[in-house]
Amino acid sequence: MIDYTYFYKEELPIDGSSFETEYNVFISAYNSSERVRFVYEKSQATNKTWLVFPEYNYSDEELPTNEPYYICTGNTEADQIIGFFESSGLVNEIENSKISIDITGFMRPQLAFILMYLYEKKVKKIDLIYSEPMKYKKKENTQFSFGDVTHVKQVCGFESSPNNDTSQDVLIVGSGYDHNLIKSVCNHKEHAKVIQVLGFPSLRPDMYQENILKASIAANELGDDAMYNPRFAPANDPFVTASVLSQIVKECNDKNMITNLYLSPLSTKIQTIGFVLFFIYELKGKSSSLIFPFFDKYEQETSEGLHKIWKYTIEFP
Amino acid sequence: MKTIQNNPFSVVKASDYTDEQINQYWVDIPGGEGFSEIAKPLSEMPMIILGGKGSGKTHLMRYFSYTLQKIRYGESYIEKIKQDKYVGIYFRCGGLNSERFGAKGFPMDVWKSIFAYYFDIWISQLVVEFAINYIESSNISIEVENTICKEILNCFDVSPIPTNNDLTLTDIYKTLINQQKEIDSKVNNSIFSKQLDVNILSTQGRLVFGIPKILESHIEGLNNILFVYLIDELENFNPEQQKYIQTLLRERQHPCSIKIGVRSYGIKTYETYADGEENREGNEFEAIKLDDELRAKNKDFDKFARELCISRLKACGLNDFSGDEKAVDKYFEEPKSIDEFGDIDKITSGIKGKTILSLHKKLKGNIDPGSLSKIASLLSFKGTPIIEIAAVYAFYKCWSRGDDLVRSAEEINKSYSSYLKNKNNKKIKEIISHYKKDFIAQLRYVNKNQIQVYAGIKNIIDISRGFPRHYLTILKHIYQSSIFNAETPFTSGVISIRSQSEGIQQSSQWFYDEARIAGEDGTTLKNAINKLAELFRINRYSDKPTECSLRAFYTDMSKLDNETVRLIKLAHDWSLLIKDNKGRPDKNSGRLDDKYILNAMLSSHWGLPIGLRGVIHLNADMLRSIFNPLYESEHEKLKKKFKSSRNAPFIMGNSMKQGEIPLD
Repeated sequence: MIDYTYFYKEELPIDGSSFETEYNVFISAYNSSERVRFVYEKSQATNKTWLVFPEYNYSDEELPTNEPYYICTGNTEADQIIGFFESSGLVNEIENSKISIDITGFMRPQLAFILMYLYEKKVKKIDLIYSEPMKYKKKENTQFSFGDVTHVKQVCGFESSPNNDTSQDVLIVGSGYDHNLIKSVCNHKEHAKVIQVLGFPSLRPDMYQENILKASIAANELGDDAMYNPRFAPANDPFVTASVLSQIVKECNDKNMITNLYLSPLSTKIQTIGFVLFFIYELKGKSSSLIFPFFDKYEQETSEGLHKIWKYTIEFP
Repeated sequence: MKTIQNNPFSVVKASDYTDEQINQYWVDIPGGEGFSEIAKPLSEMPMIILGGKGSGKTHLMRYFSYTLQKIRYGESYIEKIKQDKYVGIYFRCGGLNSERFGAKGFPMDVWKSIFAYYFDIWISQLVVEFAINYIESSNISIEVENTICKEILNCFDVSPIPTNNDLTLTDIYKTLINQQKEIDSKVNNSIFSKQLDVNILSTQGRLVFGIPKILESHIEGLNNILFVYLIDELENFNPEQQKYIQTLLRERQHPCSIKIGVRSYGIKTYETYADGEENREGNEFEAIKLDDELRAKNKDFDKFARELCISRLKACGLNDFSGDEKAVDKYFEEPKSIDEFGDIDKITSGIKGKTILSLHKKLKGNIDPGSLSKIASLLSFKGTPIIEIAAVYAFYKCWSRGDDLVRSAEEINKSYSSYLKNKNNKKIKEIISHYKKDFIAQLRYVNKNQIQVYAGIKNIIDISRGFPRHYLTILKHIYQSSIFNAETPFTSGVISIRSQSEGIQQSSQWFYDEARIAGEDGTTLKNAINKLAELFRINRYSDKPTECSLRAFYTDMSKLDNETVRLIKLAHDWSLLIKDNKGRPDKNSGRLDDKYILNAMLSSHWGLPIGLRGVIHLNADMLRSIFNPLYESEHEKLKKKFKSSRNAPFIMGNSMKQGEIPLD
């Protein structure tokens, strides 16, 4: 079991001054949130790029003007991210670059993959920026994705070497607002014992209640144990999240050795980083994988206001 | 008094059970040889076990696996397997995480070969694992084991390890695991390495059929034992991957058989790699639809369901079940039989009752005030709401035919008054017998303080017929509601009608939400089911329902467009619609049409009946407006006509005469 809380976490100013640290590369996912633009403007880097993901469905007229952007193409998160690094030429210099990524506008599979990609490219350290909203637009009814889940699959780069004994399979779900996502992953791995991790403390006090309210709609799929005995990890701390996951897995293995482990980060992007970090440090090459329910389309803007900005410094093994 | 600490029905999915629980909770279907008669474990003919979610496929397949055989037979496992004459090798396709075998910049042909080899290695591990288990409990010499190992290595075109005289099955098992891990590593990392140089060391299928043959020929106890591959959750494989399984099925060799468990919608191809030939039912495989099989068992299913409930209660320490399985019925409050000649609590009849008030409202403006009062008075039967609503129904029928309204009301009053006294009018008796449940539903609906009653063990079984998981889900929700309502379910007293109705309502909502189909088809089907259920609901709560206890339709499928047919079949595959295999003869031509029934799990969600009596003909126009999104815009118009034909004043537009029903 690893204690990930030794990693650095820092609050950045929201008073309008630029962020102090200068980077070689700054990447942000283009979306319509004012907080995403704010971070883009305050970040200092030689090479600043917007990644435009097709799932946000932006028309040509809506794309950034006078700012460099890359339109991600391809069928998978891997195609989209690799395509960017290869076509931009960054692939050759990334190992020795000082990198900052604003994860606020990223979709979770793309976020997970970009981190795994950088790890595979021998990058040792990255700064990840996340800006917290004041609130979600429609409170607990905010929809982050729309339409039905098209499929559930392992995220590229997080695929497992499966165990053919499935008797002690475990699925750890980081539950967010979207109960349909929870249902989809639970149904996809319906033979696995489910453990639910809720974001607590939440980003804002009322968000915990909103989260519970929505997750409880998936009570049947989660099962009684996961629903009524959830685990908790702060919604704004990837390092505590990774430590909690490490603890949960240790506890499970102490009882009955897990045969296959599935992780599904469906909550905040910060928690997603925790899932990714835990995977890279402790699960790579094992019978473990990161699974995610995929959608065709995502909302361009789901939140209002800017509450706080965090910088998380990730160091890879 | 014994009490239950936890909900006895909290675990509803076979996949949530341990092997021990599968064995502990196993209930066989009564009659004949039970589930063995359905699954035919001794048949060499491959079988595809289709079934809706919750029909019990996984439970059934796991029951026939050797891990369960071992638990079932304990120490005499070796001897009993000889008597069973089969050994089941069970696995889930989902476990392979097979979506990894595709794209990443490599052509499909490359993936095809790698997947086939991976699958062979995977399945071989399971057979060798069984063999290791088996020889631990039997007297097999080291020499024989070594010979087996050498022959297994001979199944490879290129042996992955050197052959020697010390080889054990554990070495073979480790070799297979290493092979799998090597492929995993190459497949998973190919996205970064952009290479996929997997060494394929054996010919497709050779390990799968070869290893059992070797075991059979060298281990005496396995002579004449059939190795049954129980391949579950085939829906998780893509069409190319399924093609390989279909190929194995076609090229099956003795002593192996294959049984495939798959959701009804999950078969993506019957094609094989044998020159693209398709497997055909009856030739290459036998197919069963498990929920159909269970539904067909009827009374046996009733018994099975009750025993399923008892087995859960017994596991919680309740052993108070003397006599037959119907002992469980006493825990469920039965809805009281409503006397058609009596009053119903909290439902007002007579002039101030909702039935007459509604009639009054509809007549107003269509008839002079004097006649209106007269009609209302003639049709009011205070103290007997069922007689009253039946009389009003008869009146609406006359109205829809264009009969003289006052005269009709007088005649109806005469015959219904006489029926009240003599109770022997055959026609009225028949109407009330057919429509009583719909009339009661209407009365409860308009008197909003009344909830619809869905209760009684018989109804619970009827709702879930063919789907054991639905049955357990209903019991789970009923138990929760009962506890919430401060009752002591299964320990003292009965589970109230209120708790049962609430539990069934929650289960219905769960089923409605649960039936989420991926992609565009999901949204389309959900809309279609909503529209269909709405038609049934309109009929049930109309002034003049044309069919009683309606949640089924029949149609000539040959007149439908392809997309409508595809979506109706998809709704059937997802168990939203149940197909009545007997069909329904068309009234006029005698042609046998297809008949589909809305799943009773949805009844409570829409206030529809559980029982089934009527069936309505829906023509091509109506069905395409329901199922085919291209014709969605036509639906409102057709629905309006459907509604108007059943509700006063029965005006259905210029093209139709009063009284004509547009859709029959």
